[in-house]
Amino acid sequence: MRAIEAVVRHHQAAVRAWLAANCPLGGDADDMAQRTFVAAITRLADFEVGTDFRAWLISIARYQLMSEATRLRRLADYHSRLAPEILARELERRAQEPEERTTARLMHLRECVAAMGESARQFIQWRYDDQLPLEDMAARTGRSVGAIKKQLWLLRQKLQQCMADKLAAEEGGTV
Amino acid sequence: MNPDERFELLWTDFLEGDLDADGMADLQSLLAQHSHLQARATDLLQTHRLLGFAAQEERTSADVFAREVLNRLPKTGEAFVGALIREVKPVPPSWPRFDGFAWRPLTAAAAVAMVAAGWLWMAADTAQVSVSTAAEITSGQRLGRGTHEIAGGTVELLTERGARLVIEAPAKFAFSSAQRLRLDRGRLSADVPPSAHGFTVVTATGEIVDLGTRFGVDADARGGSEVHVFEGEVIAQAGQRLSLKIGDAAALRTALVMRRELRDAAFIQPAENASLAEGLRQGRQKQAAAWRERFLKDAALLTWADFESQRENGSFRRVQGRWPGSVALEFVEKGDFAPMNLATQARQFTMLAWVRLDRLPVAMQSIYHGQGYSQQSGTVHWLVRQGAGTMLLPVSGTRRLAFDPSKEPDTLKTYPGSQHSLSCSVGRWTLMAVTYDSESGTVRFFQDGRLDNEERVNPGVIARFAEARLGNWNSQERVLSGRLDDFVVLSRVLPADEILAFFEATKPY
Repeated sequence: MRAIEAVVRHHQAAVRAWLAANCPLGGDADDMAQRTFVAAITRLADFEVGTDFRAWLISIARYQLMSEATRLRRLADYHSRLAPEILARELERRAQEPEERTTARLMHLRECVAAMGESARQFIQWRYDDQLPLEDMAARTGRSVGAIKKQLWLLRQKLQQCMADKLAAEEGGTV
Repeated sequence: MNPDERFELLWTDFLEGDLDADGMADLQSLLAQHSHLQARATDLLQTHRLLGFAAQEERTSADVFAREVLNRLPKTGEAFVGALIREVKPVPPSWPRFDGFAWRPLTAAAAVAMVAAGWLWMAADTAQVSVSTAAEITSGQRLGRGTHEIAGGTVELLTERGARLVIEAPAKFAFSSAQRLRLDRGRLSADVPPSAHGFTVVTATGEIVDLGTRFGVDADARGGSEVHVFEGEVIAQAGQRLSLKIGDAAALRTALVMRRELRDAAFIQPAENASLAEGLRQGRQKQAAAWRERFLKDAALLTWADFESQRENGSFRRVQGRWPGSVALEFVEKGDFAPMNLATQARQFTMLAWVRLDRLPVAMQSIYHGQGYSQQSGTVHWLVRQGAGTMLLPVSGTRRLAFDPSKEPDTLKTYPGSQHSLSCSVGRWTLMAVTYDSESGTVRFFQDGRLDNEERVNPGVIARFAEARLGNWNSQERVLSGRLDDFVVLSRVLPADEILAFFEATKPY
């Protein structure tokens, strides 16, 4: 079991990140990640030693993701309640892209957060690390909930642009 | 309100879970009408999720996740997993743990400094690093994009994809991604598993792209670089592309790749690095320094060349010795040498040298080579033979007399030598030692402190230490390929137990 644990620990971050970025709206990325590893370990005999193990894991994760997307689409009110249909389709399309792209996005995202000012990082930490309700963030800063929403929108835009710039630079051959 | 402004309001509510059914229909309609918003919404959604993932991963660590997987797992074949682990080379338990990605709170000053240097995707085992001129690298630390410079020691890194790297100082390097390393200076050995295929090392003159292999890259301070393939295959690019397979080596020049002879033993690899690190942990460097201080008071000491003074002339590379930040002379090219003139004579002598041989490329390799062997009696040569891998210590004038059948069978040697091969010592630091006693005509050879052989030569020849060369004799023959660290000469014969004690006190591992 220790050997299995080592394999899981070694690859979990990449698989979880890929599923987090691409899983259908309403899906549980970590549950899918766990199911991916369980499926992989119980079907280890199918893995060809010497080939890319991570790519094999992602192919299993992709299968899990598609199964989950199919299940969710069958929910009667899925698109009206959880996910605009166009967005769901675009996510499914992106799930066919190479896993490396997600890894690069996450890496750039962290760099972009690190490069933010202290005040901006505080908002990101409250929202994502501490999971504070918008009302609490508003109370802490003496601003309205609407202003907090606007602030988060601006920060996400900024991070999005920062990541896009980094990806473009990387794909253009510069870093 | 234009579509973009409407999208901003709807999207923010959507992410915060505040969007009702009417809002969802509105968003759906907006996305259907404006294709540029579809890609933008997906980008923003993935960014939002990755921010959440990064934060969540800090709470749900790799350990917790792995345990949850194990709890859902039926019993399975451990043996196959063991084989798989060997194949994919994950982090062994003894290594600093690497969780892949981690979300660091940006509150502590140290954390901010680390993050400011770049983001984190490398694990470091830096037990050997003594001096870091850039940000300090500590064992278990994750490294990111910042440039790292180490003045002494070696650093062992494990990438997220499982590539294991050993970088030897003096070195300057930077990761532009987990799969791409720029090496401005330093000597790197890489063990790249299939999961990290495509790992690329960029030097000032070219690129080396892994195709699943073990290889070494040597980037010198002048901007030149070489690649040596230990196993598998790489593509070397410097204007032209060249496929290099096991046993191949090449120098990367501007717009040119030139074939070289393989020097795979010139690179420190993980096993040796672990031994060096353990030696340091045991305090061997301090022990060796203390022993040197003791020897410097020995009246018989003729020289203890540690090559730290930067005063040596000649042709060689100045590289790292046995200890982090120490200096050794490296002889690579035919004709590389360092001059030495002790300007003395001795009835007895002991020579000790810490040597790291890369290979034995020619019939005779030269450690110490006195000039004028055929003209001056007592001139000393200290050599290593290629085939047998043994040492020789010819001293001119000790040539045995013509055979006289009326006397006992002649046991005197023209070229006294050792018995055990040094070929097993290629690629590791070895203490080579010889003693010479002119009165008894006795020559002794020691390898790693142990007496290897004793031979007799004609007595009465006083050794002469005048103009000489460490390393290659000339540019045609007697090539030395490797490093020379401390080189010690005394005008007395050290007894076997003192040589063993010297070895024990100054060995790096």
